Amino acid sequence: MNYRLNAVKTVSKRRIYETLLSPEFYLLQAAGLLLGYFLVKGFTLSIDSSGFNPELSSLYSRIAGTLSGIFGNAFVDKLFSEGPFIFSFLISFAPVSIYLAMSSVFRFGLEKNVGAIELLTYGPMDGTTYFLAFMVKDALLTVIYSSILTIFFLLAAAVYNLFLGPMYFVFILMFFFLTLSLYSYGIFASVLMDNPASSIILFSAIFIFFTLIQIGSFTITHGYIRNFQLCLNGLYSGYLPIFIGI
Amino acid sequence: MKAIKTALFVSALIFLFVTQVPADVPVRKEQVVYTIVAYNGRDYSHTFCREDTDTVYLIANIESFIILKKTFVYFWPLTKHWNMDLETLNKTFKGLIEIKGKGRGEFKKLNPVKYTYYNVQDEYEDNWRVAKGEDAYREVEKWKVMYQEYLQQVVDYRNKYEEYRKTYYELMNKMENLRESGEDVIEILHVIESLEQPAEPSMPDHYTVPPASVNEAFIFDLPAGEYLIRFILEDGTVLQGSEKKVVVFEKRRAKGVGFEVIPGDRWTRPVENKIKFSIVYVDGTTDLYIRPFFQDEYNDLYYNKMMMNDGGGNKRMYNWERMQQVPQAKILLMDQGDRKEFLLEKPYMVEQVKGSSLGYKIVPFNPQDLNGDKRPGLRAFHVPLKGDGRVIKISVNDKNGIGLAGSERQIRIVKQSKIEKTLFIFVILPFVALFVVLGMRTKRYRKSSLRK
Repeated sequence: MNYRLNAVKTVSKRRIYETLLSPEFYLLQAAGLLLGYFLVKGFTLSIDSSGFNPELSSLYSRIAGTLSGIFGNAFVDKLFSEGPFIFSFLISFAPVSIYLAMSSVFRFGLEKNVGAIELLTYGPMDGTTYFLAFMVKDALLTVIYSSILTIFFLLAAAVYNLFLGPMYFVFILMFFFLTLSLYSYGIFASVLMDNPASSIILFSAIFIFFTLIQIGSFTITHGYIRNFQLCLNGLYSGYLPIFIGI
Repeated sequence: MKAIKTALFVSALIFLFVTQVPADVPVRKEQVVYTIVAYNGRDYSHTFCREDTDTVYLIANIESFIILKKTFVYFWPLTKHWNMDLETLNKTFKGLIEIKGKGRGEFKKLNPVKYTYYNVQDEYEDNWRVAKGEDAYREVEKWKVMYQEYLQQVVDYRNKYEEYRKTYYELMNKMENLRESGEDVIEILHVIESLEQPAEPSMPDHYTVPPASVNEAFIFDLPAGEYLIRFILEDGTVLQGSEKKVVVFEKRRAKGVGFEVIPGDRWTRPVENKIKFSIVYVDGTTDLYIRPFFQDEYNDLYYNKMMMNDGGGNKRMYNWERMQQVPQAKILLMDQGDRKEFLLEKPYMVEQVKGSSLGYKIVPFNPQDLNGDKRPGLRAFHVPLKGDGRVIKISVNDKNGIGLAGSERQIRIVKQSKIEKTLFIFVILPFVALFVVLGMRTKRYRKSSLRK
């Protein structure tokens, strides 16, 4: 067991080091923080004498209108009941989580293609150790960026007198497990395919499919579409980690 | 040039025809529909189930009324809802409804019942009553008698007022004549001042909503579950298009507490805050007037469709629905300075702002002054937002002084801050980190190159 842990630690350190050296990681973090800033600022501009009124801000009138149309007013009320932070976190985190997943998928596929994995598995590692190293790298960077976002939102809450409450922290915890399932499906896609491009395409297809299904299960549908959706829910609800996570 | 002329000519022709096209008239279809008068927890809502929708939604263990009719149905694009044209066609059927639990048992028969419903005046809203059979006729008769008495009082008042006016002007003319002739008018002035203007009669206040005329309907009072219904005509056959599913749902949670938030500058646009422990964000420009209410939690889709059968909702979400105001409540207010204060419900009047500026202001109601002959327009709890405090916590105690669970809320005043630009520093930090990392990498690369 010790050698496995040592191998996981060594490889994941290497992976983290490489990610921290890549400019894209920082660019996407900055993009995420900028999105978060505009979303929080837009929320404060949507406050009037009676409360949150999305019509006051063009950004939030579009956001609230779109979300209400797809998921209903009850969903929007609950999403913004404590403030803008849950929605802002989702939007701010999206670029980085997709980057982390895609970079793991691409790297895995590349190393598989050039035979590096075979070399490693004949030597100090086995398959499990290799997968775990990727997962540890993605999980750790997720925790780091979540912490950065949380600190940023705490500052924003202090500046604007907003409230970062228990709903937000519970959501982050659930979101962490959701991203783990996302990364594991990325590794699964890499294992199935021979080259990095195919792995990315397969992973993108899985991600889009599950996201649409998950969004679809919350949307307002009518008549026969709703019946079809109920059947689909019954089929996949047992084994989809995203579905279980949410 | 010829092509341009042709294009212009064709465009003119098209324009001519387009302007001649008459406005769209909604297409009306004759359908057999179930009209539904359903109790929604606080009053009765009216909707109907068309032929092409297959489900009726009702709340469990509450009396709701269903009638089968033949009428015209049309889609109204402005409201994006279906409507009935009962003025053109409104035919009811004679027969009974058969009902059975979905997938179990046999059909049971339901006979139509005469009924009426009304709301009785009390301190708060929820006093709906249903009267059936002979009681329904008695209740409607009672209202008619009250209303007739009121009308008679109005006639008597008008006659007395006319007499009063006549006497008043006669005395005024007499006083004018006496004054012109130089005689003493004090006595006649006393007589004028002692004249008493007759009091205008007020509408009977026993009912807030008087009983509707007696109708005949099928009364549904079912436990939660799914049922199948069909209409059996007098000849024993099933009326085509009358088979429907009935979804009877119950509340998931009850006795939650929500707040109606009325800003002092826009009292016509109150906002409801229903989610437990949610935050009320305001800009602090005006005080708030709040009214706590009890609320029950229902499935979003089922409740919306019970209110309006062609509405929509999210089947996976639950929504709190307002029921009735919390009676004789007290609100505990705590601000940032740990100051605690109990707020009491008080009556207020809404006055139009005098002068050129438009709008209303809310003022305390004083029965002693000129407003004495009017009722208060608002009974609420006044939450002042002035001062330095930016966070105010409120919770509701019932009439016995016991705190109501789930009634805690925070009111936070959100103001644009001068230091908000400092948040940009955080956005720039990743770039700073990037430059540092790139610098370190370049330095290491140079060192290792030099060693080589």
